[in-house]
Amino acid sequence: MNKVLVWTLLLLVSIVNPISAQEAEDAPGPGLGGIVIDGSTAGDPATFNPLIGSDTASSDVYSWLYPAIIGVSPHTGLEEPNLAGAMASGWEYDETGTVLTIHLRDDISWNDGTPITSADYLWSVNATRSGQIDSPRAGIFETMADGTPAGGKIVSVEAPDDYTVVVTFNEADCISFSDVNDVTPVPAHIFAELYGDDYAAIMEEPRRIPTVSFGAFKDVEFAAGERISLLADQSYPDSILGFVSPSEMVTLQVADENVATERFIGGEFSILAVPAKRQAEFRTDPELLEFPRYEFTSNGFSFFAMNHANPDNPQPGLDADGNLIAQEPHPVLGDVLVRQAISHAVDMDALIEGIRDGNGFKVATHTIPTSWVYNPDLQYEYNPELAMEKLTQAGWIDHDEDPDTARVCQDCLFAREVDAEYNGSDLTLDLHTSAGSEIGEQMGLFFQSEMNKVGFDARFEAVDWGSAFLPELVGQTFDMNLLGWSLGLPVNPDISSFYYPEVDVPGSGFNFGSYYSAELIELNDQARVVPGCDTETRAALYEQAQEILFNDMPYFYMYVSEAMTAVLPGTMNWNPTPFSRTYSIDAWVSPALVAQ
Amino acid sequence: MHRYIFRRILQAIPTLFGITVIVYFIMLLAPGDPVAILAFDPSMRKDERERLAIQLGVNDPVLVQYMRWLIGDDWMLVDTNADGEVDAYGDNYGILRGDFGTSFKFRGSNPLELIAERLGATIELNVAALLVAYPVAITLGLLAAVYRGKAFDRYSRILSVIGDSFPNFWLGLLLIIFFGIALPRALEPYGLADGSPMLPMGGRCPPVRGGCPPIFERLHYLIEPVLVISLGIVASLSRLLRAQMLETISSDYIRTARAKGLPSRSVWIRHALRNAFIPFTVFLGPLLFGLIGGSVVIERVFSWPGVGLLLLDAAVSRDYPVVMASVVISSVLAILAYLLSDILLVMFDPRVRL
Repeated sequence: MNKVLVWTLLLLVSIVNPISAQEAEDAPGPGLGGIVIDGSTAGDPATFNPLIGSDTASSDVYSWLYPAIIGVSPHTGLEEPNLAGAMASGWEYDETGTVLTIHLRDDISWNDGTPITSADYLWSVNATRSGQIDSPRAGIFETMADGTPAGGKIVSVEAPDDYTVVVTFNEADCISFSDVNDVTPVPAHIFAELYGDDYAAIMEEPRRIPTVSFGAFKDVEFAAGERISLLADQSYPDSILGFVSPSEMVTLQVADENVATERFIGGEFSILAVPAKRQAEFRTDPELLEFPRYEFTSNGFSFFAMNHANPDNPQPGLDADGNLIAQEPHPVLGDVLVRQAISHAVDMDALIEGIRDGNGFKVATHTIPTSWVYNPDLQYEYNPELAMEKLTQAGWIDHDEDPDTARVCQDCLFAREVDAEYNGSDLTLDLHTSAGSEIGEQMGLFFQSEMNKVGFDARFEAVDWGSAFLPELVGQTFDMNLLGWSLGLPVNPDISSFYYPEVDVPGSGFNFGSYYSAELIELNDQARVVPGCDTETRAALYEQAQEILFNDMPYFYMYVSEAMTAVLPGTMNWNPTPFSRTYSIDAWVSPALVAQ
Repeated sequence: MHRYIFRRILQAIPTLFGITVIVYFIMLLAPGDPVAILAFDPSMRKDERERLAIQLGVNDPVLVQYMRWLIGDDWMLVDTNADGEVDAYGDNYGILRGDFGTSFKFRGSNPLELIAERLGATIELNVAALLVAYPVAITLGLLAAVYRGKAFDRYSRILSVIGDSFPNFWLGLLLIIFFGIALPRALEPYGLADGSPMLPMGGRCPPVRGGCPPIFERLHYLIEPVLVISLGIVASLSRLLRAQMLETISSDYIRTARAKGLPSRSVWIRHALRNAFIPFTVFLGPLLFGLIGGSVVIERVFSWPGVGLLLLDAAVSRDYPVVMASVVISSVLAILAYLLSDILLVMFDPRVRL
């Protein structure tokens, strides 16, 4: 059933796909396809160096300039060999599952003619592992170069020859495969000449312009707060047409998405990620129908994080010796029946239709519809009667038979297990979202209204991200906080970063809600050590894990955004996929109007 | 005059120091943690976050952090490798020796450089707005006073109300749509336009390589943002000048000038305007300073690469070094702006002596 739905979705996606790779139209010639102009709200890049970059604005630039060691397919979102722009031609594990041998392509070179080899990857590994640079990726290694524990799985990386990389892990773990791709190869002959072994010097020039690169574009020109320009690199060997069609790719800074939309309509941008609030306009306005568009289910979802533990007494999941700490339950959300009641109280279809103009795909867990472990059978039912029944069952009673007043605790979980004096307390919850998002604030108000209809006293407030929202979320002093999250690629169903007690750490961990399920962890652990990382076996285990998450409701997963991308009329060879809206950009012919 | 300026600059030093103390302590005592914001990434482990906090120095007491910012840490042992042990002298010199530290968000970048690479755009926009707004405001204010109660006065008042009440963001977006989409499309059927935007819909320079051309080659990029900024300035200054003119025109010396038979134009321009101009002129310094720090909305709507958005982002992301660098620069500019006002006052009002 899962696969049927995934393939149906992919089929739907391919139906609206305006151009397939096989149907690439003729382009006038190398560099004659116009200038591709994109708008970005991500701000200035902090660096052009992939070894120290961690922000989106930076990776949006350097991802054009360096190869990945293992490519991620724009069609499936999974790692595949021999992909354009990537080094790996294949790989295999040894029988223990701990030694990964990656074979590299021998037909690609940096744009100065130097072959791209295992030495390039090794240089990046050594720099990352040195501890001399601020790399967010050092945590993939078991130890740093000086022996300091780093907490990761990779024990060693070796290069027995120019076209082979051998990675040794400290244990067989299917999800560690992706760690290999966290380190981006750089031209070792250039970096060694610049920095030698003094990796710390990299930090002194974060915006050094790369002189040698590999990709469809090269030669960064940067104007702070304004634009980033890249020129076509005709030496790129993996181009779709055998040459790079656009002459240049420009990213212009735009702080506001409404302004970006108008500038796109005016012809100043070649491509636009259409904001949710404007998507209906692009589907119906006769003047906007001429813009080719592509609609797909994105990899970003929205959810209400729910705190399962007492927010007045945040505790870590484990003590100093690694033993589980039994935490006091949240007075309201600590009871699974209350969490389930919320899932039945909120009409998600109405929310998606009314607030997001229908641009959302309802989900019940963190797996997105295009994921290989998605289970379409898991859907929360909107049923206010059932919600009230569950609340009553949980010991939250409607003492005055007035639906407008809050229910009160009568032998609810907290009164039973923690404090009998809690009896008589109102069913009160604080709902917070980060201020500044119109849609977020509308959703918060909608939740408040829906929850109050079944007997909650939900109090919604939009609060400042830096000074209130984040401190209470990470500090685990919140009740319910609305978050948006975007999954990276390849899509990874592993939950160890979110629901393990190791990451239940007030002030830093990502198990904000202190959720714990031994059964879930057991299934997740099993899925990580499946022999040969067999996809079907792993999917079956993850499917069971999804059912636990569905029933336990650690968070209220709401919807995955339905995304829309549009390009200017007349754009040729635009071939977007659910995982890349700019796939095939090196074949584009773009009619963007360049103001002079 | 020189002694006055020197004295004012000396007086500014404790003021500047006081401002930095107050801002630094308020900033650090306010809720929000730069590490939580920078490290909002599930792949980052607890020890990595702690290492980042030590590297940024945000775990130190507020007073220690301030002293490091002010006088540096090259004289004290610090934990350079974030292992919990002090092991070497620090490498910050402090702002008293010209070292503003490094940005938290743009790691390795000097806050002054980050501000400097955008300051030119901000100054360019706001000076252009003042150059447009002042002559227009003077003309409107003068004519509104001369024709008090007549049609011109009434229309100029309507313009003032519009200028004061229209939100900049909304007006800016309207202009972008009008000149970028609506007008070109309306004129296209008549062959008067080719459908492309008649004015740039944002930015400061053409989006092509080779750097930004000289300002006289891209004046059209300034038209819309300058129009929006100027409208607000014209609205308030023209009414201010009108009121000053009407007050001055009823003075005894003006009555005397009229009694002597001086022509009306001479009375208005040579006698009344000069005196009415005094409060108007001293307003220039603070106004210029206010514009430089307060054009965030304009920068946002017109994608203008100025300092406003950088500073807003720095404040939101708790990038303390960038915030403090901007506080120092803003304070210096404010002090200079008020000094400029005083000097202008002396120039325009002979009764004032420094």
